[in-house]
Amino acid sequence: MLTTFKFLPGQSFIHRLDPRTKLIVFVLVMIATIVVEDVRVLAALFALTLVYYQFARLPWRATWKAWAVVLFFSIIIIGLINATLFGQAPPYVKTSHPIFSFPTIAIGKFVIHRVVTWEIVFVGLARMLRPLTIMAMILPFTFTTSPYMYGVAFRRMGIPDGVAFALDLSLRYVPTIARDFFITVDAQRARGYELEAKGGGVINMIRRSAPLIVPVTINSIAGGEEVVEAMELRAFGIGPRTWTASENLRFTVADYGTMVFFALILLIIILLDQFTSYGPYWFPAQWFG
Amino acid sequence: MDKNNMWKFGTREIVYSAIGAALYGVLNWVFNNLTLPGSTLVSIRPPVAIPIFMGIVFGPVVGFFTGGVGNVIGDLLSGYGFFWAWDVGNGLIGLIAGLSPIMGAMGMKSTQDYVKAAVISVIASLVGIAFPALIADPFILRNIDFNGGLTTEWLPAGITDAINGAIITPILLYAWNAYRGRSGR
Repeated sequence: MLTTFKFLPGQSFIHRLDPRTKLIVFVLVMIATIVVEDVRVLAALFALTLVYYQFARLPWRATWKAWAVVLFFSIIIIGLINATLFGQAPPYVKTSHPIFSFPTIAIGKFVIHRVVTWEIVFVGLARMLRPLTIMAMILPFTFTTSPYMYGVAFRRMGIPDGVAFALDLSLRYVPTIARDFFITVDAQRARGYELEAKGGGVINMIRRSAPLIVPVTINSIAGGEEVVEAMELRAFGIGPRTWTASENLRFTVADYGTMVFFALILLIIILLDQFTSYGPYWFPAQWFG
Repeated sequence: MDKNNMWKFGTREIVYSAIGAALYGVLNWVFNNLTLPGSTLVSIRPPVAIPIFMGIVFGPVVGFFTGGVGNVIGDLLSGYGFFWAWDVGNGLIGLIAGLSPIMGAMGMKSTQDYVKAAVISVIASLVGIAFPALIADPFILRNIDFNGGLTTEWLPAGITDAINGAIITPILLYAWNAYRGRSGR
């Protein structure tokens, strides 16, 4: 099986941005989602991030799995389970527009009576929009940036040489370890190992993974000793490391423009939150009579 | 792991961090994609033992890097995007396991040590997953309530990781000790 990252080379506007720009604007938008509670502002921000996402020209067949995960988390976990079971409208909201109530549960003097209101739905909607917005910003980064540029990008962002090199090295190890893993699977099957064997319960299912995990782990670590020795013989860590790919990373006008644009968006959202009614929790009571 | 050199990040630690992260990423990706009959309702995540094992053997920094970066790699391979709070949580699992010398677990060679490793795996899993489920999601990212984080994130993820870690980590340590005995390292 070929092991590759889900990087999609291309020439879109987002592809041409510096990886550092994509990370910085992601952080700016993430902060913006945390600052506000207002569904209107979060919906506008989500719409804006979808425009950014469109600029990356990512094919649906490559990204549907990521969207499926985040939609499941947003709609089922946050929207349906979390908001209906635990959601609370902010204490300063005095209105209550019930949708339905769960049957009352009484255990001695302890009584649970849970009513789901439209006010809670608006809390849930705000919470659902946050991970969706974050996903619309991060997918263009992961799909348009070669993983082999991560180490260089982080080094240029001021991360120490050792950490950046470890990051770079880990990405380079991925194909080797994946190959070793599938060789181990074949070797164990040749010895009669049945990965798909039924029964035995959860504990046995976990234990059955050991014949695959243990040889790959111990072999990889054993091979690592040789890499350590080779690096030390070449005086690794004595002076600063030369990053040849570092020269390829340069901020362009598009990078500065993108960063300024998202910094302005964050500033506007902070100002709206501080000085207007756009920002704090919003509930349109007039819509529900 | 020597208590005095726990936080060192030299050449050896760089290489083992990289190997650990790649291992954790690849195994996460493989086990996310493997469909085991009869396990459709149960999340099987034996790779969680990798950051715990790397933490115990090579220290908290290697454990943290293995868990954090490994989780990023697993998500990159699967095409899932980036969930920083869960990456930090997985890193914390390795970091807490790496603090085993402080918890009085050194050497990891006797049966008693393997039991200690299982207990450390449970503690590391429950505390590590508490960061995304009980701190980041409810209070930093604000996409879930504390009670929701507790019941829909911390309990299922923490308990699953604790069981997987408690079973696989002692097996890995046993194999590691056997390898060290044979190779003289």
